[in-house]
Amino acid sequence: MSIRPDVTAVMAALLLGVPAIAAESAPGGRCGRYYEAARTGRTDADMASKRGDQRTANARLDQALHTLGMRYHSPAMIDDSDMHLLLARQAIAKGRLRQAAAIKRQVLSDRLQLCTMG
Amino acid sequence: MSGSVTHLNEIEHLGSPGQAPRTIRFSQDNIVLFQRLRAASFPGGHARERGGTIVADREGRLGVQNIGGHGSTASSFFPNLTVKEPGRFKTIGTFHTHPYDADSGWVRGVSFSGADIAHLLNNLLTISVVQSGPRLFAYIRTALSPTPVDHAGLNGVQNGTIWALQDKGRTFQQASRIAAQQVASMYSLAYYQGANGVLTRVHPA
Repeated sequence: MSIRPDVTAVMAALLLGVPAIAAESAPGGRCGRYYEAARTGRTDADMASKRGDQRTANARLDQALHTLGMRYHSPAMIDDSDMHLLLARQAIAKGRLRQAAAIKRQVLSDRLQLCTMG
Repeated sequence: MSGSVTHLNEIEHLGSPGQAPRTIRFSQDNIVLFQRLRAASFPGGHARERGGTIVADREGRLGVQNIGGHGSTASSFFPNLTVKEPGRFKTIGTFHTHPYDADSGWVRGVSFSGADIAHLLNNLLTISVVQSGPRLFAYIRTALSPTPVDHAGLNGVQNGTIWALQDKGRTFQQASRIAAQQVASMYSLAYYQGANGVLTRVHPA
């Protein structure tokens, strides 16, 4: 009789606790499956950049940023990353594709980091 | 430094932006801290925002706690608004840096983002302070400031204003300062610009 409640509690902890732990330790945090998709986009952009194709690098980064959207965001954070994207937009307008890609890559990396912060 | 250091009673619970003080002066300790955080914003030559939580003690003296907050990146800061020793201090705002490294052309003097303003309003804080290069910027929220605000909408307005100003030939940093002033008017905020811990009210002029 005295064991039964404990067993129930353990079962409940297993049933309720394991998914919670799994969710916390998921690499994408609040971004879920979009995290991996955005990371893949970043890798594709790096490969394009490596072969000197800055146009494709920019396109892949734009796509990855779009995929991630605002999922990384929390009202508790101060997120200035859109300001950096304005500089990337300015760089594009001036034909500085390499610089634009570098800024976008940094913003994407920041946002991926924010998915699991706080 | 001439003039007296600003206390909480001068900036808290203001009815309108016009009631905000003409000048904000931070203590020497706070100025040293702001400069230290500015200097620490380029580890290894790469940008990383630094910041903390602005608090007031029972006598209304302003200070900074929770340096580093919950973390930061090159373009964001995650403040920890939970004050230490809540019997002695209360949270009134945030301080953070706006560093831009080589990839972004080492620009300095970049004022508030729309996200900064949304954080100030939606967390019902009294003050937000930003350091970018040698320049210092501040907003003070008033009773007329709307809350809550739509973060994405406000950010969009701010970014659109900056982009339009850049289109007219302003530099990014100039555009950010003009936009910050315009948004202050839209959201009933007092807006300040300055350096070395002394800020002058720009809006309302």
